[in-house]
Amino acid sequence: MEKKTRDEIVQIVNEALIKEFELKSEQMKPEANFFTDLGLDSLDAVDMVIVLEQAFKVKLRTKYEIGKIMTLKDLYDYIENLMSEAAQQNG
Amino acid sequence: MVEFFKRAYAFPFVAGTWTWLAVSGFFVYFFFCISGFKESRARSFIYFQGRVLQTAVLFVSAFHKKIIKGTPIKNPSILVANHPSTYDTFVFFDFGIKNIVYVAKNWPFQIPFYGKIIKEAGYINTEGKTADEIISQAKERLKKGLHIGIFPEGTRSGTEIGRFRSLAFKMSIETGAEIVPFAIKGLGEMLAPKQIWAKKADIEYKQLEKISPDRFCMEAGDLKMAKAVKEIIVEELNKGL
Repeated sequence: MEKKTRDEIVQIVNEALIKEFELKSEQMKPEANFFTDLGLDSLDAVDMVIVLEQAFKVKLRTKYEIGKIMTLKDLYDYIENLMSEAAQQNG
Repeated sequence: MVEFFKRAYAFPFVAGTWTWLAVSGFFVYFFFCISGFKESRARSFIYFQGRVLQTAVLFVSAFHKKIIKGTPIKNPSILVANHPSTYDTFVFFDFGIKNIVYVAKNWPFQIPFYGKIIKEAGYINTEGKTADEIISQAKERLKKGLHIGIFPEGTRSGTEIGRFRSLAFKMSIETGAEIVPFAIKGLGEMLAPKQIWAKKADIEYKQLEKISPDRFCMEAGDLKMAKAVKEIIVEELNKGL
């Protein structure tokens, strides 16, 4: 997995979610809650995993309980941690 | 003024619809309590109730109602449609499709009496379930020879069609059941979400060509299939009435 900066992660996540979920860029605030602010639900979470797996070329669903991610910031943090772990494993 | 009379004309029938749902559900509930809940009997009741609703309400609320049937659906399939209004809940009944259960959110299951009947009929409640759990239940229903009805938008969209979620299409790919799309025209104008007063409008229901999941067995195939099916329905909606 290629190491990415926080800003790159934020940009990729936002672009992927805006495109897939027909969201507006002004909605993409770190504190935005997926359910109350972005209007997504548990079934959208399934689609979100697929979209992010495609965007980052990594398997997400077996590595984290997606239900614990409530806000965009949680998601950025999770992806960033995943990237750091992968970088450490690769040496 | 004309608009006012149109609305005033439709209102008693809208009120009548909900009265009909509640009252018939109430009496049938006790009948089922005495005679025992049987899936097929519960589905027959829902079918009858839906047909009465469609016939009565749309007869008075629609200027013209047109149903365009397609190729007969032989195998248990996943039936999907756009979701402009509450009234489209019973759209598949107008095609004479009786053996169907819907995948729905929690709220219909909370309707007194009626909620219990749809649960006994085998309807699938998505509340608190993962996609895999929902698909597992759908697989059982398909094995019994039932069709699965889903509105991929997940919520009523009015005149603007919303995003299609992948659940129905993931279900299709994993079970091998074909998708049969339906286009619903006019109901969004007649009774949009959060609108209390019905307006008169022309209505058209059209069954479109079935779609095999075979060509979507690929990475993120469910999302690709969702987009492809939405495009087909949007194309049909754009043709107008």
